[in-house]
Amino acid sequence: MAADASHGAQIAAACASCHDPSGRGHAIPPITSLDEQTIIKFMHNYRASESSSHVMHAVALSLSEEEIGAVARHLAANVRHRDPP
Amino acid sequence: MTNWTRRQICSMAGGVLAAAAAPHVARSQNKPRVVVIGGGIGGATVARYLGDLKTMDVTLIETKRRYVTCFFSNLYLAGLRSLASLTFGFEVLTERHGLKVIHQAATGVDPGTKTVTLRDGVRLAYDRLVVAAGIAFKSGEIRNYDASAAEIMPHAWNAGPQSELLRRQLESMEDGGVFVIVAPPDPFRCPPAPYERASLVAYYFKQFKPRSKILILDAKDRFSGQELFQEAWGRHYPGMIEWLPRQFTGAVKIVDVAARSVVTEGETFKAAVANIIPAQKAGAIAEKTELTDASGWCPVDPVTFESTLQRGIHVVGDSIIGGDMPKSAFSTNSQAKACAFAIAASLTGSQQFPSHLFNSCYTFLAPDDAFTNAITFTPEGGKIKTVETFISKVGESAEVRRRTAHQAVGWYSAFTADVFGEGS
Repeated sequence: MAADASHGAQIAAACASCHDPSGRGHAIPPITSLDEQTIIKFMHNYRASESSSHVMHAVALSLSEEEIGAVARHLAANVRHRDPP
Repeated sequence: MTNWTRRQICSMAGGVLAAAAAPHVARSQNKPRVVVIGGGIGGATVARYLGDLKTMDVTLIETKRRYVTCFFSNLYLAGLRSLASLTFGFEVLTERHGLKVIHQAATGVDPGTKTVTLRDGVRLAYDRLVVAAGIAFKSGEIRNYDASAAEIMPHAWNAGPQSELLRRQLESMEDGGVFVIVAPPDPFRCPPAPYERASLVAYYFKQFKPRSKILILDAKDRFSGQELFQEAWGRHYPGMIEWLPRQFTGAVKIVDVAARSVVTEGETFKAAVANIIPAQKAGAIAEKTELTDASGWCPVDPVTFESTLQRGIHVVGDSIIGGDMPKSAFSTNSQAKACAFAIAASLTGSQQFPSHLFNSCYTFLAPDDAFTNAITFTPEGGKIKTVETFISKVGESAEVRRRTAHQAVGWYSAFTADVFGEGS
């Protein structure tokens, strides 16, 4: 995750507790190559339903719209591409 | 050694000198100084997140060169993971995350002069100090259980040599023996862990020593995830695990190391292998720095994690009074990030946005059967309060539990990269 203290970075710090920052996640999907609108859409879906992940349901419920926007902008602006094989 | 002299400065290594000396002595930059005592999950996370900001001089003090995670160490006890796979160094933090690590004991803190004294007498000046002291054991709660008794009846509640000792004992135990786990009173590090330990050791016994039994003598009448555990014990290990609450036994009062037995109010239980997990309190340096109250734990502001007893000193992790937050690696990591952004705000003028505190734990019932919880917290009225709790349910499909176990392994890899730095 990017090293700054912006609003988005402070929320994204929580994402890094489970999502591998190098984008190599397997069981827990990587989030380092998603665009802003996709992240927002995922968060709305997680907020609406517990069924796919209660961890993400809890996280999504705890964030305001403004916070979801801030973290989505931050993650999308710091896209990491996987290292070439 | 209590006085810091010019001569001692000159005898110190350069890296230490930069951190220790007053700004006019040997500082090329004039960044605020943060010293972090303790390189476990809390200390390493705070140091890494502060180091990444590159606006402060961050020094992490940790005696050990290698840290073994307590989480997942029950998998090691069951022969399902190597200890090496649970072991991390501090090299990535120093090479990639902009901080210094000094492998020495911090022997004292002087909040008046804002200095930390190291074992060799060197003093480090700080603008903010973080104490991530972890846990210590309360002495005297179980008679005869001390450091030497722990070499015969391990606690294995700090991962490393104690885990290796317990593993060796389980491996050499004869089939048909009784493995006794003495579970501690609340609050303690990782509430589901004694019961996860029972589950995974039962998995090991089922394969290699199927006539063996596990007896949990608990200091409590209830435990974390109880319904999930008890349902799984009946399903995976019928008749193998017995749990006796305090109300039945009065809890363990005495250990007899020579006889390898434990004594409750009315009964003596002979063990082939005994795992004594004692009652706990904040780590020694927290107590010595007068960060603890009568409870034995450290009261903190729930937004900044600054001690309410010593200004300028922050405390995160298992040693705090965390309100509704359990003492877990995940909680600690979450607190450490909030603490890091609070310190940055106070020293560099950045903004601390409202913090989100989380806990999520993966707990194994068998290698392909795990459950998880997710809890959100918020600071409220000076305490940390639960907002919402979600937890796996009894009766979930085997496929859901397999997926959770698989996610646990992915989580471990991401989480440890978050704490100890990215390895690639």
